Amino acid sequence: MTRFIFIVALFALVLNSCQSDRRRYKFAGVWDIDQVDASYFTNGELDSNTVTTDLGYWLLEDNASDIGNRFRYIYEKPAPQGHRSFMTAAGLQDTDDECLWYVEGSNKDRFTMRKADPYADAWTVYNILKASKRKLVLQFIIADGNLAGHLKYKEVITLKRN
Amino acid sequence: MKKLFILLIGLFIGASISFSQIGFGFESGFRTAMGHSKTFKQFARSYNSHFADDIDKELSSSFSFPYGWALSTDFSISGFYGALRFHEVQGHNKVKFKSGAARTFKREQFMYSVLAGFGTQDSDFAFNASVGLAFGTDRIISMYQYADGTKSIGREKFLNGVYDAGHYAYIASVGGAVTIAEPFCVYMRAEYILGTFVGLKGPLDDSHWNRSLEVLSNYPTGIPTDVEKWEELQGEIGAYSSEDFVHADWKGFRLEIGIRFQIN
Repeated sequence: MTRFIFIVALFALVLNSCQSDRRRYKFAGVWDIDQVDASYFTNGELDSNTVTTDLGYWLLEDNASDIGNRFRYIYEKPAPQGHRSFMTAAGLQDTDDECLWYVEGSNKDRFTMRKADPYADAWTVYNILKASKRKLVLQFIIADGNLAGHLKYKEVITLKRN
Repeated sequence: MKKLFILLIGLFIGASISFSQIGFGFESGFRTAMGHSKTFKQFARSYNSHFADDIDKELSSSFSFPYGWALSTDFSISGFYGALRFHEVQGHNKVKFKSGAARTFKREQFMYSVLAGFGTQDSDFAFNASVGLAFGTDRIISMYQYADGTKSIGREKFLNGVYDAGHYAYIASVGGAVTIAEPFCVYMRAEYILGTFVGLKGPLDDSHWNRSLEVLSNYPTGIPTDVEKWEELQGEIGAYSSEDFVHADWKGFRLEIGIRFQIN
């Protein structure tokens, strides 16, 4: 019985690994930051909104890792808030040496930037709103409270494959 | 486990007595599951109690009308029945806050099962009763929905995440089919999860938060069964055991109806 369960678990692990590879292939590559739509809220009500276009590039390397793929970027304008939050939390300067990226969930859940140091509690999570071969739409949120807190900031980044 | 083997042996003996048919079947159908989870029920009760002042509509202890689909292939030889089955089921649960916001829980289950027992079929009908093992994944996606409709599973909110765990169970299944136009039948099946292998399944866990070793050692990464304790003790090393979180411990009946193609 134990042997049977072990074989089944191994089979499931192999299947899961294949899924991770497909996810990585889909997201890896050079992306133009086509548009960043930033909305600011006060007590949950929309306060102001700015749209910035042609911000720069993201290069998502495929280093064949589920959690350790190099994240590189070039900004021609100020970096978007989500990325800046990550850099601040990670204590990073304007360098890409320490940035990693990975995607988790059933293909369309979360895109994460994290610091390479595995002991660091520094990462930023984006919701994936759309993920196709040519287009990637990510959403970053800041709330003003944990339980029933209101929306404070919402950033929607539209990336197009270079 | 002992009971399972005794039942299996009994079915083998029964099967070998009087049947001499060979048949194959393929089934595809709609499935609904009316299972319940003891630990999720604890969580829902605790959540509703802890946030009572903010809640407009309470979180239910079960997922409303889980539904999905199933595929299977089977054979029967001289009364012995064997089947390989796959099913996918999802259900939803929601708590609404007075602020207009809400939290939704989507539950997904992907399961394979291997069954053996007694079965017979001819041109008019098919019947089988079997027991076996089921294995797969249970997942809960916990998403916060802001008052303006924006949805998020980002880290800005407590409980946001994708929690999953392996699910290993032993089940009993009874199915019957009536021919409508040979070789096609309408079939109905009832399954019951008899139990789960406790030692093999950990709590539903958001592996995302385990990516940092520091976080792994300091913070719980599951859905707590006692929200008050979680709020008080979060971050304390050793304050939790796996028993303090929701497990993939769904049990209960699943019903299925669909079309069966059979070769006699």
